[in-house]
Amino acid sequence: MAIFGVFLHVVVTDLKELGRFYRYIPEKSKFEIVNVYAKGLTSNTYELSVIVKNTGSKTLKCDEFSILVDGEIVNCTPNVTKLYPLKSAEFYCGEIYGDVNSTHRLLVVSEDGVKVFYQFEVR
Amino acid sequence: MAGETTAHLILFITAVILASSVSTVAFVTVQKMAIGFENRGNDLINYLSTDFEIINDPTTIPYDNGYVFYIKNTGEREFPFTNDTVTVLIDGVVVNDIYTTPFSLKPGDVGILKVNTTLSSGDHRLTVVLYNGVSKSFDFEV
Repeated sequence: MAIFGVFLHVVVTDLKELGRFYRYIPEKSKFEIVNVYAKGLTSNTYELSVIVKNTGSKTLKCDEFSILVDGEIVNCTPNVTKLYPLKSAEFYCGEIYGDVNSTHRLLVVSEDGVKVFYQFEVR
Repeated sequence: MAGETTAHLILFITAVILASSVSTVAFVTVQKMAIGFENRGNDLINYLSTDFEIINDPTTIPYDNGYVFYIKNTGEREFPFTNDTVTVLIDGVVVNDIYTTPFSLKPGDVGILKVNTTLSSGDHRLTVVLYNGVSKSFDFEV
């Protein structure tokens, strides 16, 4: 009886652990790119700022966002550490190569892999 | 009288030996089953808590001594990210000439995967498989 008790305990513990994972279907992040500032600095560089708004109900970690411009990752600094629901954050991406009036593709990826695309023109 | 007692004693000892043998076998079997179940459970938990995304722009894949793909850890645990622990397939064919950095990815980290292969212009599919079988596919154009 004792042996089966130990066995049952192990089985129940593992089933509880698995059940925790099945129950926990994480909510996906939801956000929008509300504005992009791309201002020419020189004839072939511009500075980029991206404003992202959290339109979901989950708080997002700003330092875990990834930003790609024309397919390449760029390092951007957020102005806040956490992006609360209905709040916006600005990501400053510094100086990037690109001519004035050129158009570029922007891709913002959140911590859980949700992607939002945007196209902008350097002013 | 003495013979009857001896017979009872022998029967009793035999019964005790048989019972202990059976319980030993049962204990070992149950213990093996419990360990096996626990191991399988741990493997499943590891599989369920590992997740990643290929976060490239599908229309613009950078090239720098190979096609550059960005792998983001979107799971709950760190996973190894080396040539030995990652399998890469392009259009269903394994590509061995790959370069990965850094050596492991913590949750939220982005790693670089360079795939040194020749691709014709058009649509392709990249599949990345991790050490524990978690895989993701990504359609892109060159």
